[in-house]
Amino acid sequence: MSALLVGESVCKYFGGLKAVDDVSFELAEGEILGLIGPNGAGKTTLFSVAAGSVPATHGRVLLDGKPVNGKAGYRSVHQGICRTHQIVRPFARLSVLDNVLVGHHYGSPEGSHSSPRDRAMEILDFIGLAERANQLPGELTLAGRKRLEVARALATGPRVLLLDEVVAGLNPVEGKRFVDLIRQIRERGTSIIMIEHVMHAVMGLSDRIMVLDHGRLIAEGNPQDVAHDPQVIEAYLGREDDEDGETVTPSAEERHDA
Amino acid sequence: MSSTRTRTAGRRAGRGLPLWLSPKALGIFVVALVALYLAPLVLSLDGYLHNVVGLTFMFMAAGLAWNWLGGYVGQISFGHAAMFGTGGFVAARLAITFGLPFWLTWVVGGLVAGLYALIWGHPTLRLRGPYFSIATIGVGEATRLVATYWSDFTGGSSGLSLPIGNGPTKYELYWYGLYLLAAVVAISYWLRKSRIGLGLLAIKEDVEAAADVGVNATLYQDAVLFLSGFVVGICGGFYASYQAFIDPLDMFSFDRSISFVLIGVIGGIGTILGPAMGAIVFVVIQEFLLASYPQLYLGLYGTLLIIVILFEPLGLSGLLLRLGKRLGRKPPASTAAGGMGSASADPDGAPPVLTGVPGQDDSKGGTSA
Ligand SMILES: Nc1ncnc2c1ncn2[C@@H]1O[C@H](COP(=O)(O)OP(=O)(O)OP(=O)(O)O)[C@@H](O)[C@H]1O
Ligand SMILES: [Mg+2]
Repeated sequence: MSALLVGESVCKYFGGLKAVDDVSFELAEGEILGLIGPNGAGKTTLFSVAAGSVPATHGRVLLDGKPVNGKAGYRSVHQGICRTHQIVRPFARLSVLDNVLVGHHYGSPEGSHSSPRDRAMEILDFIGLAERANQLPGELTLAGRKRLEVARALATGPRVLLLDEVVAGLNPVEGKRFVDLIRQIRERGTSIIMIEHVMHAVMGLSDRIMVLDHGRLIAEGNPQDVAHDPQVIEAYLGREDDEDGETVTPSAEERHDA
Repeated sequence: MSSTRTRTAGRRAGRGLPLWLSPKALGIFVVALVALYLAPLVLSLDGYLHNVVGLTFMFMAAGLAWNWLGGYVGQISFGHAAMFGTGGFVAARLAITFGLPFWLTWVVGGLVAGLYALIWGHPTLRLRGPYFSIATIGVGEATRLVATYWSDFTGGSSGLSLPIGNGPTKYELYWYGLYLLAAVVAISYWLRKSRIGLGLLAIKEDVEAAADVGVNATLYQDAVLFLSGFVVGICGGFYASYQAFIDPLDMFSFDRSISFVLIGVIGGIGTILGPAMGAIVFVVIQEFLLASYPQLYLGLYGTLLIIVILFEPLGLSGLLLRLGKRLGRKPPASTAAGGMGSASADPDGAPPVLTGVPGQDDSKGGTSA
C-alpha cells in the first residue's frame, strides 16, 4: 500500500525544546488517523510541519511523493494538504461566505464548478452553516466557528485534511454532530489526520491512532490496542496521582474553550 | 443537499461576482466623470479654485493608492513620501535633461517609484502592524536625507525647476488629475471586488491563517506595494508639473508622508469613498486654513487624528454609514463591520450614499467651496 502522506523522521526543535522528536508516520488514502497525547506533546507542532506552516528541523513530509516545503506555507495547500487551527482563526471581518471563498479561490479546488459562490454555498450547506452565510464569524457559537474553520479548509479542496481538536470544547450534542460530519468528509474522499482530546470521538472515528508524548511517538495501532497500551496509560495518568480509574482520560478537555 | 436552496442562499449571500462592474456603480461612475469633465467648461470657475480642485484629484488618487496598502492589506506606511518624491524627481529630471513628454516622465517616474518601493518593501513587509510602520518611517527619513544630499540629481536644497512649456498648464492639469483619479478609482474597485481583494482582506485579518488556506501573502503584499508606489510616484510627477518647481525638503518630508496617512484615516481607512473625502478635508485645511494660520499645522492634524481614531475609526465614511443607518437603511452586517461600506454596491443593502463613486458628491462640494 503506498501512502498518501508520509512523515520521515520529522523533528521540530524550539531552541533546546524538542517539540517533535523523530516522528515517522504514514497516512493511507481514505484513512482517518487519530493523533493523541497529553498537553504539550507536540501534536499541533507536528501538524504545523506537516501542513508546511513551519519548516521541520530535520526530516521531511511527503505528499504523494513530493516534499511539503515549510518555507512557503501557501504552496502546500496547492499540493493538497490543509490544516485547521486548534484555536479557531476565522477572518473576523469577512462574512462566513467570504471566509469560505478565500479557501476556494486560493486553494486547489478539484475540477471545475458552476461558480465559486455556488461551490462555497454547497460547502456551507454540507457543513451546516448555509443559513449563516452572511453573518460574521463573531456571531457564531464556538461550534459554528469550528465548523467554519473546517469549511474554509474543505474549500481549498484538500486531499489531506488536518483537524486540530475540532470536537474539544463542544457540548455532547454538537460533538456528536461533528463526529458525523468528519465521517462524511472522509466518505467524500478526503483523508484525515485528527488531533483530539475527546476520546470517544477519536476512538470511534479513527482507523488507526498514534500517540505522542514529549515529542516522541510512543504507540501506534488500532484504537483498542492503543487505549490499553500501558505506555499510553502512563503518559496520560502515570505522572500524576490521578484516582480516576478510566483509561485514557484527558485532563485538558475543557482547556481550549474559547 | 438541495441545490435550489443553495442557489437562492448563494444569491442572497451578497454581491454577484463582478459587482464593481454592476450597471449601477458603473453608471454613477461614468456620470460623475462626465460631470466633472464638463464642470469647469460650463461653470467658469474662479481660476485658483479650479486649480485647487485639480490638485485635490491628485491627492485623492494618492490617498487611494496609499489605502491599498494601509486599508486593504492593513500595512500602514509612514514613508510614502519616498515614492512621491522619487516619482516627482525622476519625472522632473527626465523633463529637464531629456525633454521627454510629460506623460512619459510621469509613467517612468511612477515605475521607478514602484520599483523603489519593492526594494525596501519586500523585506519590510514581513513585519506587520506597528513594526512595519516604524520601518517605513526609517525608510522615508533615509530617503529624504539621501535626496537632500544628492544634489546632482535633486538639485539639493535649491530644488529643480521644470522647463517652461514642457507640460500642461495648471489649468489643463485639472483634467489630467481627473483621468488619474478615474484610473485609480477603477483599480480600487477592481482590487476590492476581485478575488484578489478577498485575498488582501484575508492577509489583513490574519496572515498566517491566510497562508494556511493558500494565499501567497508575500506576493500579494509586494504587488500591492508596487502598485501603490507606482501611483504615488505618478502623483509626484503630477505635483512636479503642477508646482513647476520641486525641492526635496518638501517632496520627501515626513509631513508629506503623514498627509497620505491623514487622507486615508480621516476619510475612512479601507474604503474607496473615504480617502477621496479625506483628500478634500486635507486640501481645504491645507489651502484655506493653514495658509492663514501655519502655526496650527501639527496641532490641528493631531487633534483630527485623535478624534477620528477615538470616535469614528472608519472616519468620514463611518459617519456616512451611521447616517445611512439613521435614515433606516441597514447595511448588511459584514459590510458595516468590515469597513467596506463605501467599497460599493452590495445590491441589497449598502446605503446609496456610499455606493457613489468618490468623484461624485465630493468634488461637487469641492467645486462649489
Ligand atoms: N512557536 C513555539 N515556540 C516555542 N515553543 C513552542 C512553540 N510552539 C509550541 N511550543 C512548545 O512545543 C511543545 C509542543 O506544543 P504543541 O502545541 O505542539 O503541543 P500539543 O500536543 O498540541 O498540546 P495541546 O494538547 O495543549 O494542544 C510545547 O511545550 C510548547 O510549549
Ligand atoms: Mg495542540
